[in-house]
Amino acid sequence: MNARITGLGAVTAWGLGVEATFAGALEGRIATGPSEALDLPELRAMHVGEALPRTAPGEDRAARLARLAVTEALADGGWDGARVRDPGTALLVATTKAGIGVGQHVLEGKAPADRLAAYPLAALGAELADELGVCGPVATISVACASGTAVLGHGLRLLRQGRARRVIVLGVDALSEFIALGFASLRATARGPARPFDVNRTGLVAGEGAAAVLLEGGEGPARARVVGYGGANDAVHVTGPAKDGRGLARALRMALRTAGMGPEQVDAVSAHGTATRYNDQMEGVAYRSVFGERPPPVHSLKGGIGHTMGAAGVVEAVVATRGLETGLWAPTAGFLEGDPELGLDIVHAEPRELPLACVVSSSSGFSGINAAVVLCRAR
Amino acid sequence: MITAVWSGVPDRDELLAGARSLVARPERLDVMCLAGLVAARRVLESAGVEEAAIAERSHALLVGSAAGCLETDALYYGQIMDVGLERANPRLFAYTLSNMVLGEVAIANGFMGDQLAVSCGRASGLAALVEGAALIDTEEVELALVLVIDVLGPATGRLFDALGTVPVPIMAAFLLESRPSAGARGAAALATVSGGTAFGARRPGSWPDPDPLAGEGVDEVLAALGDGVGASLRMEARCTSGHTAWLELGPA
Repeated sequence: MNARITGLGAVTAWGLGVEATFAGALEGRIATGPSEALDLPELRAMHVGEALPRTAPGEDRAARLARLAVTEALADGGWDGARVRDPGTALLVATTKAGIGVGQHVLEGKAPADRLAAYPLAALGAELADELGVCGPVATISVACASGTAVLGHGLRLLRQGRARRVIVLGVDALSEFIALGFASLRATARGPARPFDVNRTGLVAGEGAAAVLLEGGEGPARARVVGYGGANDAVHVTGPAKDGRGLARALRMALRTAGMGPEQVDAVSAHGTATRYNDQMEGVAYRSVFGERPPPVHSLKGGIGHTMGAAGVVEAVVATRGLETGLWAPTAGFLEGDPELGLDIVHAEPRELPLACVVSSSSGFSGINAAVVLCRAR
Repeated sequence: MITAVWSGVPDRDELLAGARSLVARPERLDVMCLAGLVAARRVLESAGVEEAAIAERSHALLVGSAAGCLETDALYYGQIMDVGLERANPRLFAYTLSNMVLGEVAIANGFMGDQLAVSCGRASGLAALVEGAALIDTEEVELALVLVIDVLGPATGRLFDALGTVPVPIMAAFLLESRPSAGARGAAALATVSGGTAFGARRPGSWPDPDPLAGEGVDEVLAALGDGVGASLRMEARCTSGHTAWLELGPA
């Protein structure tokens, strides 16, 4: 069974709404820059991809992003309250640290202790389920920066297992001092904008955002379809990707197998593309291993909006869906000069017009997890 | 079906001792990872499942946790505030992710399949078991290792103080297998999982004191498996957040 994508929502540094996000992606616009929302005097030169202006201490920035994306998706899909409240409707939330901004403010004494109720990982999903009246399956899935792609796969799984008839898939993460400082401490952040797959890349840029995708089983109209999913551990290192790309390659092969497709049927790839040397090299190896020496055209969105962490996979699925609808594969913002070692055809400078029938989107994350989904044009 | 189970108390010193034979420099790990490593190895040992048997089977690794990495969050951010960014331990930042435990367990035991960290408040433990059982039932995998972990400390204590409750830790591991997988290695079932789901519901209630966190319902599963499952049993976990899960166990 395929999952029909029937509604989309997004808020990113490119703007509020799916069309603003897709327009930013097509322009290849770099929407990252010095922070206006965070108190980070020691990191003034650091780029971040902010999707919201400064919020008050104790305000749940992730929750605001989430509501914007879900509201847009439900309107886009024409889901009324009765459909959302149907026991066959599930809500899956992908996040790495949704409530951490609130938790941090409580730890700093900037917000009252009772705000800690918004801190546990499941809190946002529970709050949204309560607001929307979702009484079908509700869960928060967290597998680091692969969460968004994994939750799309889990949504497909719930439909195939017959545990839900429709699924609201939400990916969300917000910037906070905790997150920005954490990324900085890893010494993997860029000087200036991120330049995925560029020979002169200097590292990643932290971002924030939310995206929502409505999935439905059965036959009917769709914007696109999710047809396959694969997930695999590197089982090599918890913070560095396997140099031979073994985990990502397995995830990609599994996604293609569950889709009933061969690698030659993939027309384009939405890469994780963090713009760290290790990640870019690992992806190059994995894509060549699965697709052969001439992999399909590849793009990364992280040069434009930064790494939106748990939201990334869902944001990428939203842009990929618009790509399947328009036949335009967005360029890789920030990319100037290719890295010959990668052996990849990086879409850059301008959107590429392609006969897109099926595309793959992949993500990788700390702990060694890799996830891939196959999306195809609506029939 | 459930073919092995192990549970213990997540005491850091005991976990460190237990993890020394599993990983190099276990001191670098947070308590959640230590608990996962020890629980995973103990349940695999009790089942007689070695790395080769895992590699031969399609498999998945899951964890259910309500508190997740709250302790590590507080520890890491405390370091930044106390000693500054330059001297804060960058490794600790990575361990503020609640799926890091699955990465450590994967490396130590050769799990190359998918992973899932499930968080559903107090229903997290049963929800993780439900997800593991569904993966087996639908033949997506032949073997699933499900961890249920909530480790506590000052930060978790503060969180639950604010909520007016006393949290209870849990460290448990369950090995779920398909019948052919268990049969191929001559393993007997402790029980079958005959149903279950995790869902959202508007069921406001008060915080129990003590609060079993992800252990709600899982403690009954552990007790039933210890006593032997003679008839169908239904365990339920409800969280004030609205998260609810139920799991039905049947005789082996």
